[in-house]
Amino acid sequence: MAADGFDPGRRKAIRTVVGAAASVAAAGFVLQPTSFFFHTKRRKVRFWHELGGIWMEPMMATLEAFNRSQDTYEMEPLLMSDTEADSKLMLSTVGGDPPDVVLVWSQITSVWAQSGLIQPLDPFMSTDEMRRLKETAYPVIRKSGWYNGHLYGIVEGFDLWVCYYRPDHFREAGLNPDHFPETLEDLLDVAEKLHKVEKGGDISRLGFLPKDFQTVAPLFGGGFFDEKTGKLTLNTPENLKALHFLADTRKRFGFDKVVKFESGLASDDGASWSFMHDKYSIIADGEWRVEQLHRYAPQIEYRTATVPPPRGGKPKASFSMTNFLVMPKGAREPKGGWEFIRFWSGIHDPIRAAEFYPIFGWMPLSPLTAEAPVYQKWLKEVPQYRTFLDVAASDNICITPPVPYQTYLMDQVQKTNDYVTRGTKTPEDAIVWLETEVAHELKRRKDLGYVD
Amino acid sequence: MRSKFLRENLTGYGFIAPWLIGFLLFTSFPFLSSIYLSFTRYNIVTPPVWVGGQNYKMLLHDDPQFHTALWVTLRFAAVSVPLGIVCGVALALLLNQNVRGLSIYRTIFFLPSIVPTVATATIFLWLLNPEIGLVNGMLHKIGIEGPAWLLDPKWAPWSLIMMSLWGVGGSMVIYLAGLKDIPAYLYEAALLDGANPVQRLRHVTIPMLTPVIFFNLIMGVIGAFQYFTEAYVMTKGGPEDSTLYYALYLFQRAWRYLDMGYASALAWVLFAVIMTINIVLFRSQKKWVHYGS
Repeated sequence: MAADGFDPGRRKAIRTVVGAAASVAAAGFVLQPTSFFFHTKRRKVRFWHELGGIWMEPMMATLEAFNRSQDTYEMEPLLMSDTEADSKLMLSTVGGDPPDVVLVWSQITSVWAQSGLIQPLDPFMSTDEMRRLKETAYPVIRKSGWYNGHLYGIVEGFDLWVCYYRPDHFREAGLNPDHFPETLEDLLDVAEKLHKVEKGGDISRLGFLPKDFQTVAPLFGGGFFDEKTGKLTLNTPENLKALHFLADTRKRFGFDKVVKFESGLASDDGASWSFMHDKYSIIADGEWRVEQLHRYAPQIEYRTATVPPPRGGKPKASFSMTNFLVMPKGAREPKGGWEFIRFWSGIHDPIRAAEFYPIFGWMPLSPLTAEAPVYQKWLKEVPQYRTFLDVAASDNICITPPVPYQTYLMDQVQKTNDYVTRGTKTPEDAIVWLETEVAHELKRRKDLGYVD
Repeated sequence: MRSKFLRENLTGYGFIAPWLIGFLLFTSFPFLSSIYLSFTRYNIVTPPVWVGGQNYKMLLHDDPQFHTALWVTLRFAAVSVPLGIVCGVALALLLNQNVRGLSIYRTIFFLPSIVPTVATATIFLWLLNPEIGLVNGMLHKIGIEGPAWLLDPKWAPWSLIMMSLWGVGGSMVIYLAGLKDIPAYLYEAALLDGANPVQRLRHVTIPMLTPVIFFNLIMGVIGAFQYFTEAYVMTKGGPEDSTLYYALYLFQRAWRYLDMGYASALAWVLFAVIMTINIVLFRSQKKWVHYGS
């Protein structure tokens, strides 16, 4: 026993454990892959994004490609969870330490633009770049990201909705998969032959079920915003027809049965997507599913087709949600940030950017990118994607209204959808409710001095 | 003498300085700032603009969601707090018996209360799934067609109330401690007077437990009005605003719609509501809370 009452053997053991732990910690610190960049003299461009999981690999490949192309800047990425992304950006900007570029999923650029959280990107753009955006980009890209005459976000990937369908289900039901319905009414007739309903009314497979209010409204010529007048268009006959269509397709099974069926589907992500598991014969979904089907279910035979319009409706119509690359106000390396934005999006070099879109399975901004050899090569592997490009060229694509209360507005649109698809309100009541709620909010904002 | 007194006090303040500075900076300052902010239009990025009492006027007269959120929260508090107290006391009474393996039972009932809220919420999302959830699976076995729980606006609030009982083990431990504090001689006296178990419960246990019940009532009311995480994770306020709790609505206004001034006004109304209820409860305690002395 030592003079301090400590057993020397025990002391030695403790020293060994502490020493080993310190060594492991030190080794970890030295060897940790802090990042994939090594050019310490380059200026760091801080980039925040939400592309984890299956998106991580293509994201890192894109960043590496940018870093290889540079001798001035180097990207420093940070992955954020989608729940913290918006608030983290706000607090960092207010705190005076924002990132230089952020990729956002939320349809929130107008809100942020009005509040001064992000800065316009048009001052960074060359005349050629602006011309390319305005003249060669897909129509939906040309109109996205603008607020008050300035461009606040460059689209990096946008969603469109087309029908995925299973030829094997068609054949099994005695239908010809080479003839996809040309009207929404015909589509419902075909779906009737594809539904599988159990004795008690429980659904085991749906032939087709329209998704939601915002994706269905454009097919009927509806939408939520008139681009020409800059006014909201909520309570319109077209939107009402869309709501009736949503209600009727669910009423046919019983609202509760549809809710129950949808709740029983596994997570809608990646390999769990219900279409891969025979739960739908025809489903309207986004373009990223092509790459997921390619990756997770290559054995499934499927085709794509544009969602047919109702009689008197609009062809190749869809609602588009977009990812935006934005630059917070106070960014330390705005030029470096813009370098990355124009590199990835293809605003500067549409052909060079063509290599990134296939690895994400995303839509390019412009037909110029889509026509690039590398993109065409990918299209040969997944010909189903051509339907999306076909729809992308359409003028009938609606976007989230670029108003500074767009998050509130789209939340209310979603609630309207919920009321109708659950059968809680009639389409007429629901659309009046939507109009009234939004009017209340607009009055509230006006009284508080907001300039909308 | 004076210098020793000062030295001793300075040492004490030195020791509590980290907490004191933290409290002043991160609690008092935001707390007081929010009073000012509630009279402004403020989006966190640009300087606040004074709008007088407009925020309060708007939320009382022109904001249907405020009324919905207040009603949803009041209903939750009115049901979940008394239910939690009844279940907590009942559990504590059961686990205060002399039976074998008592500490194991106590641990089992206490464990759920230390599971992180988000983990609990995620588990309940699966348990309450109408199609593949365990709850409806069990109901189906006994011939009952279960509801859609969190997906049905009629059932969603009750699902969350039911779920709130999951954490009742936390208050149960406090009730158990309270039960242990009741002097044995009171029971002996009651026995001598011929009181049966129900009479002993009614006239000895419950009255002697009222200070603990009162404490849990106050904490429960405050907690119920600040109910947020479960709704944020599980329902996001839906379906159809049936679980739009006040704190969730406040959060949406602040962080989703960037309406910090309005959200500050909402926070102060919430503060006023909680204070009013607590003042009423404190006033009422003279009539029903029995302190041993």
